[in-house]
Amino acid sequence: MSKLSYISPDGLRVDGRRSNEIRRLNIKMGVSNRADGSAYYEQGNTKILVTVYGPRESVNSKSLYDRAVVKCEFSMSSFSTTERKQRQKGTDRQATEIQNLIKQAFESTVHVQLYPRSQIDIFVQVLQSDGGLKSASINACTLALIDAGISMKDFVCACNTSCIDGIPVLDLNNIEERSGGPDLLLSINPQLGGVISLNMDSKVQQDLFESVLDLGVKGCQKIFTILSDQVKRYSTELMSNQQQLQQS
Amino acid sequence: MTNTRNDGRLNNQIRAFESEQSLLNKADGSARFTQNKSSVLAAVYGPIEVKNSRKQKILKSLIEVSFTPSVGNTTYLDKEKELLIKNALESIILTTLHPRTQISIIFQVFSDDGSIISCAINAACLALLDAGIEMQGLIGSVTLCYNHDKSIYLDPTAQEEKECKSLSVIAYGSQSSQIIMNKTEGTLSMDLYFKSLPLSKEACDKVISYIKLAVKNRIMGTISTNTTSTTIES
Amino acid sequence: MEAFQKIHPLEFYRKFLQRSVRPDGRSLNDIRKTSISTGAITTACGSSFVKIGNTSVICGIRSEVGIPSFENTDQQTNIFVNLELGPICSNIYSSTKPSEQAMSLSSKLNSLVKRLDIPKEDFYFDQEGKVLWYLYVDIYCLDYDGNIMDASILALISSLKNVKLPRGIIENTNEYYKDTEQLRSLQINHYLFPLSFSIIEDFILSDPSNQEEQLSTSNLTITLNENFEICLLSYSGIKPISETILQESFEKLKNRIEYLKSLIDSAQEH
Repeated sequence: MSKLSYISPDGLRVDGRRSNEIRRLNIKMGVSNRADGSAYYEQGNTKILVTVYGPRESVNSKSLYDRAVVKCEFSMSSFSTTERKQRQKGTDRQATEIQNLIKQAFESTVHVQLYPRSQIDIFVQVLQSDGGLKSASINACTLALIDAGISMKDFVCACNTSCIDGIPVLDLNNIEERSGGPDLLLSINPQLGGVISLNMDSKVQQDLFESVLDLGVKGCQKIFTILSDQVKRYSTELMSNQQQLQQS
Repeated sequence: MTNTRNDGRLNNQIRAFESEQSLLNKADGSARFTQNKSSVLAAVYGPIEVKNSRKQKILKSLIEVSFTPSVGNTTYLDKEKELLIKNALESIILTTLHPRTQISIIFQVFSDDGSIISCAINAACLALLDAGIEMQGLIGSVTLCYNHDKSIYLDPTAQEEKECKSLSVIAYGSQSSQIIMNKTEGTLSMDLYFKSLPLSKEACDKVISYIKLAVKNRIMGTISTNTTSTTIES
Repeated sequence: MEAFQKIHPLEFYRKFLQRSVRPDGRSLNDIRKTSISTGAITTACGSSFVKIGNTSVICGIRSEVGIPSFENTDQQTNIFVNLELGPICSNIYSSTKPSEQAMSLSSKLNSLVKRLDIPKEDFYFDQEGKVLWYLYVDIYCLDYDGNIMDASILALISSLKNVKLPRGIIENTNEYYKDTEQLRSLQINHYLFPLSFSIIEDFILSDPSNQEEQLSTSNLTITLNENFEICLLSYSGIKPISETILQESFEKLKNRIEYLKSLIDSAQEH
């Protein structure tokens, strides 16, 4: 059996991208009627729907007197991966990991002091999974929180990078993730310039690490330009609709 | 139609009823309803304080139903049965008389030989009477199965339920001739369905008159009541 | 007026219903805009997305191989349906335990699927049928605005018609190979046409929205197939219902069948 070469001699990857290209993004905001904020996010073949409810009254006594509590729930549809995933209650490690990641990322970015004694619930539903789940979820949550009108210090943009055959590679799909190489997840506040989280699996050579990290930052900035563009477009559309309603 | 079924009954013959009331000490009301090999025990607790205060209703009583099968754990099929029975009973219990309380009805199936939902509803009616909970009227329920050869069997056994083309559980009240609850599954033609409604109404009336007889006998002195097999003319 | 709607929702609705109209402008018999699309999820072997008004439902089917069960009944034992109503669709549902409504609806959908009469040969993995395909249908509600039953039934039948299974070859009795070049669909000759009603105080509303469902005293769901045979009838509620109302409901559904059939068929062509 021939070894699958992830990067061809021309520098093209399995799906035809170059090493520093992200997949095509397709974004829709305000898709859910009942939720306070929602966003549908596609990055290549990874499709995620996020809904945000909040700020609303805390259901149990976990409320804090001076700030809001951010909670996240992550759910993968059974048909989202190539093997049917049975729903695991409570002990699903991947879900818990992503939930904590999102919770921490947004608890530091949302202006929680503005909403004391309340809670902000974020629900993530993965419809199709083709790699880059964690970064796509974080980006989608940013959009949904913006749609809900929740006050934030900045966007949170995330992307994952890796190093294949000595070349830093941006935005992995499922096949590349499974290859067993390192997987670096970077999420940043693009305008404020701070790093929210940096996780890495496996190992990378010390001299290559800087370039991999650098590529990650560039990737996040690219995603940020696309996201902010989309947000501006969506807001102008909403405003023009509102003006039309007021005139009629 | 005079074709006989596996157990020798006619098409529109219900199995013999047997019932007992006040079996349990702790429950406010209890009754056991048996139709040959299908037997269900219903226990009623109420009106009592609502366990889960979020579900409390301000103007009415909350009806909680719990259905446990004879073998195995409760599955989603049992949840569906619970919801059906709960809706049926909610329509005859005068819930507005006991606001902010809960009436729990717990079912335990002893043996399941078909028509188990009907058995449960009939047992619940007796148990509610035993508990002295105010009701608008009595409720009687019966199951019908429609076969591939367009015949209709009343009160099917488990074997007949498996072999039939479609199955229908229906409940009527004693107050009016309107349907309180109905669920059909499987394919059946509309004409056959509407033709069978008077048949099921008659059957439910028989059940209701049996319930009245059972309560009367109990008050007069005898504890358990039997009756021989009842036939309904189609 | 919004305060009136929140404090006395029933009074608010009654004022509209007495003039045979609903707050969203529909008449009592009007159905919301329905759309069906299939094949959105490429990792599933069949999928569909149904939107009735604001209620959206996505359905995906996964296939697995397995040995045939030993039960010998006429009914289908190869398709399992599961409906999930999670917190993503509405703030009423919790994620920790499946709601009773979801379980009850799953049970109804399972009973619908069991009598679809799909020929056994369609489920054969290989030529002889020593190994069978098992299909797991998962329906997720993404947005809940009432009438989840209709949306789920339409999603179920559309995605089943959309299923494409690869041909299978068994070598050495336990090596299974799937030939993904040759895909075949299931032969589903039947259609399912659903319609749900809510009854609020003697007014019968077709295709209830979420608020109407909460105010209703009774709910009725009927499903017919293309031969006008009843596949599912479920009535439960606080008030009893008369035969005439049942007959009228069937008439209303019959009027809608042509439209629904064209929706399901056009979704398959894409």
